Amino acid sequence: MALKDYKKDMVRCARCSVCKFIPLSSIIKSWRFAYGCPAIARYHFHSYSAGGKLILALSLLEGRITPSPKLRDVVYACTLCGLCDHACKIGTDMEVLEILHEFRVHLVEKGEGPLEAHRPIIESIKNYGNVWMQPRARRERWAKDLDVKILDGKKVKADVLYYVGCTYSYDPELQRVAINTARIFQTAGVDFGILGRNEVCCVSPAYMVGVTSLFEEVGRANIELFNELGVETVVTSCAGCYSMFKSKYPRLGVKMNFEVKHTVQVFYELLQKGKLSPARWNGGQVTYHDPCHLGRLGERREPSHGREKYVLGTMPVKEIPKAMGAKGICDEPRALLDALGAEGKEMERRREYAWCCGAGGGVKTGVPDLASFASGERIQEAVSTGAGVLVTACPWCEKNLQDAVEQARAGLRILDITDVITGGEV
Amino acid sequence: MDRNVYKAMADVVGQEFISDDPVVLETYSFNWLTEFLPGAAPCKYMPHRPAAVVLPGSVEEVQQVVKICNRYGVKYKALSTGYGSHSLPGQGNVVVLDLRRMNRIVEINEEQGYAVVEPYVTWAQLAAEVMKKGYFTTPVQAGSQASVLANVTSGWGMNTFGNHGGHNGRNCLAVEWVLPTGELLKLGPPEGWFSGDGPGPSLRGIMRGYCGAQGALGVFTKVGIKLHHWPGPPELKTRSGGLMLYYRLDEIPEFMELFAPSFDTYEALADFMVKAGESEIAYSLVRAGGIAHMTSMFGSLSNQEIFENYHESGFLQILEEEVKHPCIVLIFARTKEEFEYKKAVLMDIIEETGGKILPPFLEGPFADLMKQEMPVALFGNDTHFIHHQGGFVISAGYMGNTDAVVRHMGVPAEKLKKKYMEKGAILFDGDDSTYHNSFDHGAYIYMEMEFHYDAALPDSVEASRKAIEEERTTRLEEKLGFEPNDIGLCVGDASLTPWERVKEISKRYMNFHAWQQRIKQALDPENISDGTNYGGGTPKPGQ
Repeated sequence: MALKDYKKDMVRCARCSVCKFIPLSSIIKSWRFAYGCPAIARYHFHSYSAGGKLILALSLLEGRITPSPKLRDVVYACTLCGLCDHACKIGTDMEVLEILHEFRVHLVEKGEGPLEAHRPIIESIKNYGNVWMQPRARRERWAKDLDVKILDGKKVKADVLYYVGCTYSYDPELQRVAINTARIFQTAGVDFGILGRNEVCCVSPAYMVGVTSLFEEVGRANIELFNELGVETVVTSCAGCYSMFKSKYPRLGVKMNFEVKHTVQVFYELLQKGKLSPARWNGGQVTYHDPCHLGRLGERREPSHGREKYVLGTMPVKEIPKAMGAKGICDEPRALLDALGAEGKEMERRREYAWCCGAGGGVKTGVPDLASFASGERIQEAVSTGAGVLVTACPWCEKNLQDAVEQARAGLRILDITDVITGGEV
Repeated sequence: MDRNVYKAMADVVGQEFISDDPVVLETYSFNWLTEFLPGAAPCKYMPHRPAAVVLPGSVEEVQQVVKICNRYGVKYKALSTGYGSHSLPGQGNVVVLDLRRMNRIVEINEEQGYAVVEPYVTWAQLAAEVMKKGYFTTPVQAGSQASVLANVTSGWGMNTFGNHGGHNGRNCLAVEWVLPTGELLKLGPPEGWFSGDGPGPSLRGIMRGYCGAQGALGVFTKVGIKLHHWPGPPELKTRSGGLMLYYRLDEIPEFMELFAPSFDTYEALADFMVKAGESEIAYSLVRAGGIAHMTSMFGSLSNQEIFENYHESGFLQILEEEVKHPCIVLIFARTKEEFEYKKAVLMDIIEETGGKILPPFLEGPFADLMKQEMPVALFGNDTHFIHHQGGFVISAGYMGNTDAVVRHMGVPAEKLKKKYMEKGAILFDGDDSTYHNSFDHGAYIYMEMEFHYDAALPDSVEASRKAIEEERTTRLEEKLGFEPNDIGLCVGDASLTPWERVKEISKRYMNFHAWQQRIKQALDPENISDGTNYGGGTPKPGQ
């Protein structure tokens, strides 16, 4: 992979600004919630938009600009949420998101990235196998009162590996989601187990900030570990982990002998089979926030690496299927909420054109101002629906949105979808 | 940039909203069509970067920044959504006023049927809000993401609903205008925004004329825009999964239908477009060339699918055997009676003029696509699909009498297109790529010839440049209309400076550039507002 592979797409950018908005006027429902890209909405200069970053990538390759702290700040002021990619692809074949990510990889390779704030996280993954600088042994503490199998692939086996993820494993506020999930699985009779202290970070934080060497090393090890377990399915509650397993791990070229699912998919399947008997929701109207990594980034994407052929004279045809970001997990959580009797109030920006919560792409750690702005916007949008509860299915979304609620003192509860299924009782 | 000037501007807008960092400036020196400008070819970068970029947040801040420019003798150029090379400074050491913080819809006056917007309100935002109130606003041809204000005050005004809604230069009502000196002027009535003219002589012509001054005469900070009736629901229900533009109408409004009649000759097409216009039945009356050209832009979601679904499958060949010169007519009515009447009139005109609506357009998967997704293209006004092939450029385009333009320009345009396609340097998307857009119920028409190239292939860019220049020369000999885009876009012959190009064009039109120069001098005595795209800017000594 190399940034220069995508030079043609950079040149093709028409600077039309479509990447700044949710797509098309027939989708835009109001003046207020028309914007799609958090970075340009916050910082205004064109450089911060996807189109601006494509220009900068081209300028860097052409030697028109040189790496600088400002360039690094601009490149990392982006959640890599992929909204721009979706909007642009409605009218073009350009791989905008791949370029934004490759830009970071390029800076890292040149010693210009990631941001200083990202470095402790990278070191933490290397040293502790998690992003929180926590001892490996504490990873399974959340399950100490639950009778959950710790899989070893030899004596202790199961059909399903529940991959918990760093944040649900360690964050005291969010461990309840892992507990909820285990109890739902147990009640429904799912044969599952966890890796306990042997679970290692999915390495999404390193991948997102462009440290691909660590992604390749840890990603391969994880695939081999999952293969050795002999499980049929790897299920995770974390949208970020899901997107990594589903969309990024296949790029490593290691055969994956397991299916990848997010817990909302499994819950939905259990519901369909009559194995899930959720409590009837009586907490009022809810609005569902699509995590980017579950929605538009939950669709598997193949990068073209610039490979294309010309037909009809000058028509460039990419040698990959076009991923619009609409084949992610958007229906299942809504169906679950509906089945629970929760009255859903949709936000204007939803599904594949949902507004990002602001936490992804290393932004929560590296550019907290942008993370705060984006989550504040989302909270305002959620409040505008009239719902009193925002439900999501991603630890980073939940944390960032919860911070925004507290900052704005908004009368909105932030819940994980497992809270709704279990009736909030852990 | 001079630190004194920088500091003075930073004091007005705040440090957060000004930058002269190369990382910021670089992104204001790249744009669509720049590859066709003299001095910049064949890449998309201008030969120079701006001196700084400033983000004013109010009319007062705009005035103060402009006054600082006057005080220090620094040129400036304002942009809104900034699409196209004409948005960028045409010369070095220019301060860019990026108006994106001024993004409010100030008023929607339901009683008098107008809206007042600031520069960074996009067409999509305004359309969404006025539809809720039973109104529609004529699109901005640059797309749903483009500034309404820029289109109606400063640049052209073409739009796909011009047949009933008129040219956007005429939908421009009252205007708040920061003159190049920093003084504030309001055109229109003393109170309110319902009219473009107030007491005394009209200044609208001086402010924009037909083509707009492209930022050369100061900064427009608010505009009143005329609204038109909307027979549809408060919002269009759409869903994803469309095969052309990804989104499709979930519910087709009750009294709306899209028709695509086809004609064997340009003569028949001309007859139809005149009669269809005069009959006042069409909400939209446009065409986007032949079927190959149309499908190359929005026939499918990816180039791979376009190639497979239309070319490899042979479907395009089948269509092309029957469909010679199609056009698109959108009928939209408030009542069943009105709807049936308009459809009946349309069918009569099609029959009278020898046209036909072919089976693939009437039923089957292709017809479904047309019914469910073409309206999204029209109402969605998503026009960035024109870049599907990696590059899109238009000939100068011109305005003229509907009958004369459609009747006489098609065949020469096809001949020219064929020549360049056969060289393999531009996309092979059929001979007919003339875009037509009817205005004021057929009173006149806008036409441009469209070429797809790949911006990543220098030979393709160069071939396109030659093609548009040749088309321009050919067309000018016909003397059928005037060419609005030539003046503002400055694309084409790389050997001419903008000033030389304008002079060449101007000599055929009563030396309009001399009048533009006088207006410019009167309003901008210090020549501070960048006038490159307005009459070629300031001539060099001896020119």
